[in-house]
Amino acid sequence: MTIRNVYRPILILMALCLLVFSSAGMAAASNNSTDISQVKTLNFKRGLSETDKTCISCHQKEQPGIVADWKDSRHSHVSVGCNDCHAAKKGQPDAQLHNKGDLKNVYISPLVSPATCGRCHPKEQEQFNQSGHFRSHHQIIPKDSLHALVRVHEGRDNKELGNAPNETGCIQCHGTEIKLDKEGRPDPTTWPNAGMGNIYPDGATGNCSACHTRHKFSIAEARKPAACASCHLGPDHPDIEVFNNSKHGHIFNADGNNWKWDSPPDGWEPGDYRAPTCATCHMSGIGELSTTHNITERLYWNLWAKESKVRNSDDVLSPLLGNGVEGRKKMEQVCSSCHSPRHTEGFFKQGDKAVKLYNVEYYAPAKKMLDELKEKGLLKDNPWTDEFQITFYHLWHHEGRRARHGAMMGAPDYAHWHGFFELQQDLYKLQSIHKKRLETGKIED
Amino acid sequence: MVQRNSKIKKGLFAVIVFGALLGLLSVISWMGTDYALHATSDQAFCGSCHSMKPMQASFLNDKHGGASKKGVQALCSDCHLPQDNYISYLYVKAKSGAWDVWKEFILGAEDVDWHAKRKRANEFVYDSGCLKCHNNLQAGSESSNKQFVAHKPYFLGTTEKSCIDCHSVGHKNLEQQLKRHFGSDMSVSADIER
Repeated sequence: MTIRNVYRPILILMALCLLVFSSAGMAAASNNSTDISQVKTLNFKRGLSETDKTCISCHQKEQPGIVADWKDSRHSHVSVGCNDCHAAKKGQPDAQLHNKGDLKNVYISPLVSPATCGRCHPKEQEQFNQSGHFRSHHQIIPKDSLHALVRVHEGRDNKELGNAPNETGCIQCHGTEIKLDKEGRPDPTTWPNAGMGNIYPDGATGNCSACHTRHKFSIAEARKPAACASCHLGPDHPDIEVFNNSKHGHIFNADGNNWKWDSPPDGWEPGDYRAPTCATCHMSGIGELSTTHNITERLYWNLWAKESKVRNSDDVLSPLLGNGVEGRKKMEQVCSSCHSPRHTEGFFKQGDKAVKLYNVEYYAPAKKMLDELKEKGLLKDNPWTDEFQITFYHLWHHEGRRARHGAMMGAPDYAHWHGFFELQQDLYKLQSIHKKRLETGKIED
Repeated sequence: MVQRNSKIKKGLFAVIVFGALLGLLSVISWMGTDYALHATSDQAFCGSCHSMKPMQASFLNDKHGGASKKGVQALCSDCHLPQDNYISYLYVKAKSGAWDVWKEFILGAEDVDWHAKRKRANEFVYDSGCLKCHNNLQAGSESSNKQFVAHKPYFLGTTEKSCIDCHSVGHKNLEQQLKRHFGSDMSVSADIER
């Protein structure tokens, strides 16, 4: 008998025991955890209605872009489908009978008003209704001089074609009152448009898709400067240019593609990003501040009017809508997430000084000259052929805004070269025309 | 002693009879009140007024009016009276009921702009009414993602919207029924019932 002969049965016995125990252990363990075979039966139905499925089955061939966008959206994730937004009631002014394909006898509308979005996002709609964005179209309605500019001067008073500048320009940012033809379809003189302040046939004002574009409605997209830049650009309010010129824009442009853009509302905080975008300062929940769709809430000045005043009005149609003092406190709170109080205070001291300089040294004397010439009958009836009035317009509407926006949002080139440099040129020009007209008593050719 | 005993017995008897009568009377008056409240709450009663014909017709075509597979028909008062407590229920019923009769038969209801009133539907429909039947809505909403998302602000109290602001229910195609009944111009009403 060798040693091997003694140990072999013991080893075999031990191996057998190990096998039995471990399989028993595995059986016991699997009783406590998920039964893998059941997982296969998990149901991934998106909860879409039969009507929605019918829409999609056809429109994914007809307009695959729309369906692809929606498919990639949070809406599709929580099973908000076509009819949740596009269903209409028979008799509703914009209702259209859909009788094509497999979808028969269903009323729909291409127009989705903020009241529809507000059914699930009521807070956002209420905040929007208290904001300056609400006014985008409403404020234009009574402005005769603006209608004359677009219709008579730009549109050449052409009966058939004269509304083109309005349709392709104004309403695409400002929105308009959407008119319907006899069949209840949106009239092409008013739609399509991506404007902010549409008045819809149901009476609601606004246009959520101005920032949250169809049909993805992405929160990440609305947080990027591009969402604002499609309207806030150009010679009269170069806000995207101002942002790009600022250190905030510098960091965004250098590093933004590495940031986290899809944190939940009120949960998007420094760390997700290294510098703020338009949305961060004007809308986002940051630190103790909550998210708001009232973009006026954190403002001190009105920086776009002829003369800048501190906001102090509850009237949503007033250019001074808001509470400037409270607004400034909130904006300082935004800054405080990244800057020391000394830094923030100093920044606003510099900016406020520029706004006041514009008010006192540029707008006030220019307005005084304008009033004097008007009183003496030394202004042309057509302002757009009158060098004085054109220059005056540029002084406040273009150069004056650039200087003020540049100063208050940290854009040196816009504060200086596109701003105050141009402003002093305007002022000298106005003074010279003013002097000449008073001396000769005539309007020069 | 005997006399005193019989006096007590008599008194006791009177109390019992009085109590029984009082009980009977309150049961009868409760039955009467309950009957009267119910009899003046359904579509047949409310729809007996000329002005209410389009509301009745549109209601009967609607799910809430019984036009569903389940066949449940609500009472007008289920939605159009507050259901949070008996006092406000009775108060609003008495007040609006008295006004409706006065307006319909004495002042005349021809000048009512129903289309304009529909825009303030939330003043005439009470959430407590909706929630009386939809009484497990908060928990129920959790079974569907989109319902949960939509009802969250309501149950959190972060919106002041009422049920009817989002769910335009109860009267199917009321717009057309109103136009058919009164004519699209509300000032020309009359000849349909002739």
